[in-house]
Amino acid sequence: MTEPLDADALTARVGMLDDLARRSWSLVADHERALGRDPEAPASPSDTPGPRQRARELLDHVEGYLAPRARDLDAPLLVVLIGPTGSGKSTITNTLAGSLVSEPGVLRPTTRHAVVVAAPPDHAWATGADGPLAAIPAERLRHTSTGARPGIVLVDAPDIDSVEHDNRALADALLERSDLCLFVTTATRYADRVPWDVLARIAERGMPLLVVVNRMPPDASDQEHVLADVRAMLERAAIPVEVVLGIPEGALAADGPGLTGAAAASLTTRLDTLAADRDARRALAARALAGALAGIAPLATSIAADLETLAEDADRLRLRAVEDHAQELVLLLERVNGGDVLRGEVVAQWHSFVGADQVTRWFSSGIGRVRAALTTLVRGAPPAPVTAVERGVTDDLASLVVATADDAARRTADHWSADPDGMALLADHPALWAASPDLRERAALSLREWMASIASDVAATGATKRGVARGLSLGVNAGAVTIMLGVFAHTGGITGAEAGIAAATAYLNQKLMNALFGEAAVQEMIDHARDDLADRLRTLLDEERRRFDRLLPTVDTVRALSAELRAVA
Amino acid sequence: MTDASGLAAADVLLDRLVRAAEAATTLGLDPIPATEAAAVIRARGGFPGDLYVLALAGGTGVGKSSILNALAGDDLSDTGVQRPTTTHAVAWVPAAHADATGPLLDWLGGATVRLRPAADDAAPDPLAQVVLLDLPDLDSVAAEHAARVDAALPRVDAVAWVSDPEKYADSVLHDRYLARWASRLARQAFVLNKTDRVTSGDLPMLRDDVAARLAQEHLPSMPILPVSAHGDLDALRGWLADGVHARDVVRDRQGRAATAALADLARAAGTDGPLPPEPLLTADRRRAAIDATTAAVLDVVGLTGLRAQAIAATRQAARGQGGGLLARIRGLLDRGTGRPERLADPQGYLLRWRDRGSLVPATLPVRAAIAEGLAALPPAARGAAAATGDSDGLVTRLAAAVDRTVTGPAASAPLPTSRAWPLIGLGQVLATVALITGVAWIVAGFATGSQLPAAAIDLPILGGMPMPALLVLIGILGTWGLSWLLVRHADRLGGRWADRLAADLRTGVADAVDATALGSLGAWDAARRQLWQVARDVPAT
Ligand SMILES: Nc1nc2c(ncn2[C@@H]2O[C@H](COP(=O)(O)OP(=O)(O)O)[C@@H](O)[C@H]2O)c(=O)[nH]1
Ligand SMILES: Nc1nc2c(ncn2[C@@H]2O[C@H](COP(=O)(O)OP(=O)(O)O)[C@@H](O)[C@H]2O)c(=O)[nH]1
Ligand SMILES: [Mg+2]
Ligand SMILES: [Mg+2]
Repeated sequence: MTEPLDADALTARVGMLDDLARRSWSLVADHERALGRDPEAPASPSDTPGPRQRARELLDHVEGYLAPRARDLDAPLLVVLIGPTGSGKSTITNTLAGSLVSEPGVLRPTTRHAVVVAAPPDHAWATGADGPLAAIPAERLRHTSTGARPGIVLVDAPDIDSVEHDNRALADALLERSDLCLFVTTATRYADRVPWDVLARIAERGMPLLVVVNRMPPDASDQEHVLADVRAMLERAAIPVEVVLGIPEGALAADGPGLTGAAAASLTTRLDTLAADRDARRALAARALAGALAGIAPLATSIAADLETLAEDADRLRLRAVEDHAQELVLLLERVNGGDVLRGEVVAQWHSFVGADQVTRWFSSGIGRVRAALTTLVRGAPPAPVTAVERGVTDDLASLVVATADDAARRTADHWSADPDGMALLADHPALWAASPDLRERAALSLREWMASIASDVAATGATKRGVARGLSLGVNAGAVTIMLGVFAHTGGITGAEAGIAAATAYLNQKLMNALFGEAAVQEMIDHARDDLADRLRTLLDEERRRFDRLLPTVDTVRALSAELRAVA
Repeated sequence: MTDASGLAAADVLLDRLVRAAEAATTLGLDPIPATEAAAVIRARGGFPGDLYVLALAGGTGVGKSSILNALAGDDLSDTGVQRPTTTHAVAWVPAAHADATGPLLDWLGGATVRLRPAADDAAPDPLAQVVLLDLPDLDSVAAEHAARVDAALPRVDAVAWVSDPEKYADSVLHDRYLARWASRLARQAFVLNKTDRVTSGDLPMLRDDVAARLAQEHLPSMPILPVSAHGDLDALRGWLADGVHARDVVRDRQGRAATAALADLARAAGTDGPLPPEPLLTADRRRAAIDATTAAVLDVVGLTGLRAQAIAATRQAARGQGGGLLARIRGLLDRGTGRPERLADPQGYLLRWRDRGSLVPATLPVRAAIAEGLAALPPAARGAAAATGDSDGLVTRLAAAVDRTVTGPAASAPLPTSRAWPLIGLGQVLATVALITGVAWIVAGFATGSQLPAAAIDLPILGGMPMPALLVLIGILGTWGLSWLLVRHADRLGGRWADRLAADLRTGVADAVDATALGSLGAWDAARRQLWQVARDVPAT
């Protein structure tokens, strides 16, 4: 496929890929930050590249290579020398430039920046706003035009495998931006694992590749053996390579900074030919672009898989939080419905109110009724302990909500900590091991709203039902309290004869409610109040749970992006 | 070092590791680093201690096999241009130890054994105590090679890290191997091979660069041995012959490995500082949490209610002995209703504390305090600390504490009585008699229609007053006054009794909260202190 896509289609595709690459990177980078890691910090070369490197590769590849190359197939070729430290990249660069342009050295690693050998206009293009090197920090590039071939930008990259992690990051970035790779390794190094990670990426990226095995043993059959072994390994790894060249050890030129002419002759000739032939350069550029476009698919697929894993992990953690909070909510609702909410004193106060003759007259009969009427005549109706009950409910129930949320948070945090990512996500958020500090206030507020809504329910019902006069003479709030207590104690079947002040209160309260509002209306109001309360408690716990959710990526976004990546691949 | 002290050292290490593993388990940390280190020490103790295994470890092609061959003066291990060459380890064993080393080498992952004949009789043999182990490479595409190295490194006694001018700054060597293993080894050296490939002018520079890098990695004292397998191996020979004893090598290595494992655990627990770890809660914070919890527990127990009950009960008792007729009648009537049982039964009221609410809110102050302390802990140590505030556990322990207190001696003390009450009772009888007499007198007067001799008595202000009326007045005032007196007195006594009991409950609950609610936090604090102690080798106090 030497003929590129038509220009418009190409521009559109690159634009779309650019968008995908940016979004993938920002998603992965955000997640890294949530895990307490700096997404920009260079990774150790001895670690196998992970999601972060892949997302970065795609971004570098699209912005640093596809975009500039798609704009102009005739722009200079970017040729990069990549390889392990001490393999002789600088020495070869010098040989190709014909003078000392990159410092070779005994100390490892020697090169900590990249040396760009390019004619001034080519250099201006490469580092310009639309050039492939635009995003590389200027201080990491040294430019020289000595020995430059017009039309070719030769870049001596730093190593890919030393303890200087920055070097690898720069080499990776340069690799993504180039048309042609000269991979330089040595007879000692050629089976090292780390460089093979890089070679695998070169192959995936569909980049034209030349492999140079430097510092070969002097013996000719040994040399042949090594080269054959290298070729076999490349074949096994399915890495297409234009040519594998050997350069023997000790072939340093006595007079110059590079290798003897003979040793590097074949390399020099190749470069000279390219420099001289504009069409050959264009053909190579077109080939590289085609390879690069084809190479998007495997990378995009891997990133899509990375994102799916990310979404699965997030789902798993989120589900834990949901389960833990749901379980605690069930316990809380059981407590609430079982009447485990009210302190005895509060119940006792209400009991002496509903048990008072002046109140029981609403529902008693016979002699009790006469007595009640008399007492009321003499003493008047007693005030309902509305505030005390309301305060008791807000206090006790709010505490219970806090304790529940606290348990749920601890369970979730505990479960998350069993997972390395979960532990990392929580590392900077120790507060997630407990309920939020303001939960009690929020719970109290919500409970007050709940009581207010019961009161308006009672007022509305009272306005339509026969109990108007009775209800109002007792006060809307007292009516509301009867309903509220009904929610907590309305367990049905409780009779006053059964032991316990709570049961007795529930019984009296039930009678009072029925007398005030009628049985059907009472049931309706209690059901309504109970549902409303359950909703409110659920909302409170949901808000608590969302603190955990916020640490996780939005899986829908992640999955959508993953699907888009698969679609372009 | 003698046998005895060598053995003692291993025992001490094992003891520290075992205690660290215990503490780690309490702290919810993975104890495996400690148990594994202990397992290695135990296993190594079963193999010969009078010789040590020195592994040659490094990247492929740096010349490990060539060095072994050069030392032996023989082709013991394959070398070649093909990378990687060495797949299986080769051990160069002093002939005298041939039999004893077999199991040791098997434990190290197996090796092809090459025997080294005893040196000429006269000269002391510098290698008499060393088994040299040529390992496969640690950096090639052959992952199984690195796996063999990884399996052997925790068990070998000493390591020569072999590298060359090309590979000495490799990430794999430094980031993967030195970073992990150098701190766990006592006898080790950095062998810079192939120095014949650099000019003699460059060599010192190279050496300095290696030294600088090692210093940067906190390994300033690691010897650097520039050698050439194809030439000068003196630096390595000299180091091998520097007179160490195998027993010391083995013991020091175990000491380092154990110390590193302990340090890792200490770091995970956040107890790696020079000072003993602070308890999770400061004394003030702890005090405040206990006070708040105690208050919340007493709120459920219901001290106000208790006081009311105590007063009611005392009143009842007082009325029984010193009440007037009416009071007695009321008492009799009340008896059937169950009211006294409910309202005037302080002990029963205490025992029924569970009916009055849940202890869950009472656990909040303790848990809030613990949660606050978590931020200072490393993430891995937070779970176990947070678990000490586990709601169910706390509630159960608090409930048990309350039960113990409400059934304790203070709560079962008898209700107060007074000797004044029967006297008041006598007064009540007299007053009642006066009342009845007065009323009877008046009734009789009306009935007979005649003027009974109703001697008028001259009172200071009221003037003359008929006797019957006076008796009625005395009766009413007396009954009322004496009842008033009785009730006040009973209230005082009952109130005081309740206050005493409340004070006892308060201290009882506070002590119980301190001892039980924060009990597992105490165990947690102790485990951290223990980990700190064993990691720093501080004798336990
Ligand atoms: N004898 C010899 N030395 C070489 C050869 N290639 C590189 N060197 C030396 O190896 C060292 C590292 O080379 P350098 O070009 O800096 O490697 P880079 O890290 O890949 O740039 C320098 O001292 C070079 O002189 C070679 O073919 N023969
Ligand atoms: N110039 C030179 N070559 C060496 C030296 N040591 C080993 N070699 C060569 O390096 C290659 C690899 O050696 P080898 O011992 O198999 O390395 P290993 O993989 O570490 O065991 C062989 O071709 C050796 O001849 C040395 O000191 N100087
Ligand atoms: Mg260089
Ligand atoms: Mg070898």
